[in-house]
Amino acid sequence: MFQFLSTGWLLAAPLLIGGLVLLYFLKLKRREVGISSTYLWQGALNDLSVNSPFQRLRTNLLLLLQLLALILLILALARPVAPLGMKGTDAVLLIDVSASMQSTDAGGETRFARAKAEALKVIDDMSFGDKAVIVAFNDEARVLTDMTESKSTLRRALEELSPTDRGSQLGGAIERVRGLLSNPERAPELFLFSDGQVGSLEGVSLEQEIELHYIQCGSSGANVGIVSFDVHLASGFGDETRVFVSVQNQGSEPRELGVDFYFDDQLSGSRRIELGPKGITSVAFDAPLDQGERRVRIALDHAGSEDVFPVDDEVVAVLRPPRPFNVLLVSEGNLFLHSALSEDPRVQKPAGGTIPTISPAEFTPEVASGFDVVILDRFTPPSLGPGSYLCFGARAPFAGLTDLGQIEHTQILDWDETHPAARFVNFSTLELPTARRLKPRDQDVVVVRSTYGPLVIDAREGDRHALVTAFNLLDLPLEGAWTFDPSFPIFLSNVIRYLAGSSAEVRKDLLLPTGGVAELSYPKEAAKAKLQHESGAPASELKIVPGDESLRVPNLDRRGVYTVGFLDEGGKEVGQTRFAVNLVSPAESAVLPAADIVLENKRVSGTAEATESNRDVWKYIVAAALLFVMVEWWVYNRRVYL
Amino acid sequence: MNDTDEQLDQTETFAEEAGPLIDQGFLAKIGRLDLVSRKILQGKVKGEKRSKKRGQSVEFADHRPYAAGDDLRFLDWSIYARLDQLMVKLFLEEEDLRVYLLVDSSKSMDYGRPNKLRYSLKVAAALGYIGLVNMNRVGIGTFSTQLDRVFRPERGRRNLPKMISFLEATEPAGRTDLGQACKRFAQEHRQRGVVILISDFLDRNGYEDAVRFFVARKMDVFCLQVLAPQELDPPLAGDLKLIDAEDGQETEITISEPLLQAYKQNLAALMGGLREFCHKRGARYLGASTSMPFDRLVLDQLRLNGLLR
Repeated sequence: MFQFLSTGWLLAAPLLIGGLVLLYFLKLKRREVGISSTYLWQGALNDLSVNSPFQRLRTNLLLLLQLLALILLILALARPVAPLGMKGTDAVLLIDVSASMQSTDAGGETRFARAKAEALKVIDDMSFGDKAVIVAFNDEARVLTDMTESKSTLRRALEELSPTDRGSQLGGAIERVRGLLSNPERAPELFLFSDGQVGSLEGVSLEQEIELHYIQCGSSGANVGIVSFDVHLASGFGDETRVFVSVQNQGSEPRELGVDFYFDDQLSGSRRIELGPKGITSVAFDAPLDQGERRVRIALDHAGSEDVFPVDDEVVAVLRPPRPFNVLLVSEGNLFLHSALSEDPRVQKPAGGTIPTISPAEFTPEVASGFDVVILDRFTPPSLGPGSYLCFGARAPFAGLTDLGQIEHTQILDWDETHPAARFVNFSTLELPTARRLKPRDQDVVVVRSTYGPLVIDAREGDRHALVTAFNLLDLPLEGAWTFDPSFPIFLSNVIRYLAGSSAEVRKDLLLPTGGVAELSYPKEAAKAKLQHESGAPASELKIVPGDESLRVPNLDRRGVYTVGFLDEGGKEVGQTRFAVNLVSPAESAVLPAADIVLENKRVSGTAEATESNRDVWKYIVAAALLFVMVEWWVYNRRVYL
Repeated sequence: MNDTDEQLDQTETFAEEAGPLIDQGFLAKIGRLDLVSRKILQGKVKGEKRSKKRGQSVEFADHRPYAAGDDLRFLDWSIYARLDQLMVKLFLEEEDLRVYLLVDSSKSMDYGRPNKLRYSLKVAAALGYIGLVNMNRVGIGTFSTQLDRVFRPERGRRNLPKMISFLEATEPAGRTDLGQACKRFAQEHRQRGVVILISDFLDRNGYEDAVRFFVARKMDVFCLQVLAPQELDPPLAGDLKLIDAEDGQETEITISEPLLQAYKQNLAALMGGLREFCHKRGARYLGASTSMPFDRLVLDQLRLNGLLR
């Protein structure tokens, strides 16, 4: 049985049919034609009326055909549809809002716009009793409406939907919608509007009774994009920071393009690169970070060649120079260490330019916490808290790392030049009248080796990290001592940077992927925060729960720079921070639409249109009406009846 | 206006087709033709045919053995010389042939393109001319409900202008009543001769009486049924109100293929019936469409049908 979507036309049918009949009779003013004699015609009429059982019908055949054509047109206008089954359907409209849906294929329409239009068709085609729900997904799924019959609710939800710059995970979305389709009284349908670049579907299955329609949006895979982005402190002692990007050609044509580097929005570097089909290459730029916050942007210049996906053509970072290292010296007094540390510009000297120093007696693990590096000079504490330690003339209290006693007049054999602590350091001038003999564990790394065994050991235990040197700086001979050699401050610097590790690296911790969560430290007086994207979109307000260590900012849908303003109770700004969010996803940059969606137990081919062609039947009815009109015309002109 | 409407618009065609009924070129073509009667007809005046060759207006027909009392002038002496038998030469006497042309001038004849009446008058003019130049007595009548006008039988080429002007003065009028008109004409023209009846024979009262009157008087009857192509294959479509040209009778029809078929069957029955009726009574029949060029009818069809030679 058919159902009608616009029943108003059926109600109007009697009026229209009556009108046609009325018109027919009004119209039937016979044309007068003079002929020589009606004699033969009267005879013919008599013959016919005697012979034909259909003679009455014959005279009205034109009217009959017109009525049939009109009835068919009314039926077509009433939009009959062939329902899929006797049960009402529960449909989930799963709409991909991941970044790749912003691709613009031939025709200038984005994939997302196409998905929206097709979803709208499905909503329009809903019959009485059908229900639907809209679920948007990128790397997570959001249910936007209830399972509802209200087309206006669905349309509104669809209207408000916009694509994000995030990656895409269909698997999770399917898990999410499964519960929405569990009503056994209803026929479940799942419409997927996507380009098919939906992450791994391994292990994802769908119940057999759920009918899956995959409406494939998009056609092209011509895209060159940035697929990785990182920032490193350049090796050496300068403040150079190196920015790396990997650029990949996802298309099948070789491409040549420019990579532009902007430093504080000033073009400060550009490279020309050539990429073969599926080729990938890396480009690095140096960013001179001296002080303050700097904005770094890298953009691809396609020079007019086709690129369907613009979102991955640009990355941005907010970089700050490395913060100073917090170093605690635990010593009875050591001039060499004091002076070497004082000279290191990266070491923080809080009060009066001196390094925080405590005596071994004052040392407790609690006191040492909060420092990047703790230097233990000739002192082995019974236990250590989590952290990084540099030990001179003492061992770290790690189980298995044992002190085998004193050794004398040992010679340096070799050192590991690739170890960060040994970089640019010359140990050959190190003369050691006395030293400790240490027995390393299997997992420990020996940095410097002497004739009697390891002299500098890189050791870890749990969340404690220690660089243990077997010699005491004060035992070194004064004349020609290594402590006066330039190698000593370099060694000290290397060790501090190495031990402090990423915690005191260039501040790239706020370089986030789209969909990530920013964790921001906030001023104590802040009560709330205002999150603003650089695009000028309306700011959103974030509540700060007192007692939380950091402010979490989830749902970072857009790439670009976000500014968070911290406000106190009175609404006065008490601080500000910025962070950058980028889409760097090789999976999302591969924008060539997938022809099929392959689940564990199902394989569905993509269709360009949402509605099945045999569902909407008005076209056939209009065709039949047209046929009747043509027959009517033919009958009228060719004088052929029945 | 489409083709159909144009073809249907026949009302003024008789007037529109005004022009000479017959032109000099055509007269020259038909000048050597003669009218033929299948019956030997007695006339009062000798004809002048073949006088150049034989004189006495006699034509050799046959021989028969001499019988006492025969005119010795007709003995064939050359036969006698060869066969030693007395044979008498028989001659066909050349008589003047009476030719009666009866033209239907009812309103039903004022129809068709080319117009039936005009066509009929042209045929009558041609046949009249042939009759006149062959020294036949040519009499003409035009009729509708009754015998309307009569051209008294005349002989000789000199009567041609008179005859033509008689024919040209014919106007379509009235209804067809073949029976009445022919009865009257037969009463007025008692001399035997060839009667050429030119009409569409679309008479509700039938054509039988008309033919019968002439046959009964031993006339040589030739029925020429003139129909317009629009009557043979009506170019009609749709819902129509047909108006009879003669009596204004209205007939509402919706054109359909079966109706057209029935009409054509009726027409074929009318033509076939007339042909058969004529045959049975020793009369001759020819059906002609006005779409056939007039000269072809005279030069070919009438000769094939034996009216002319």
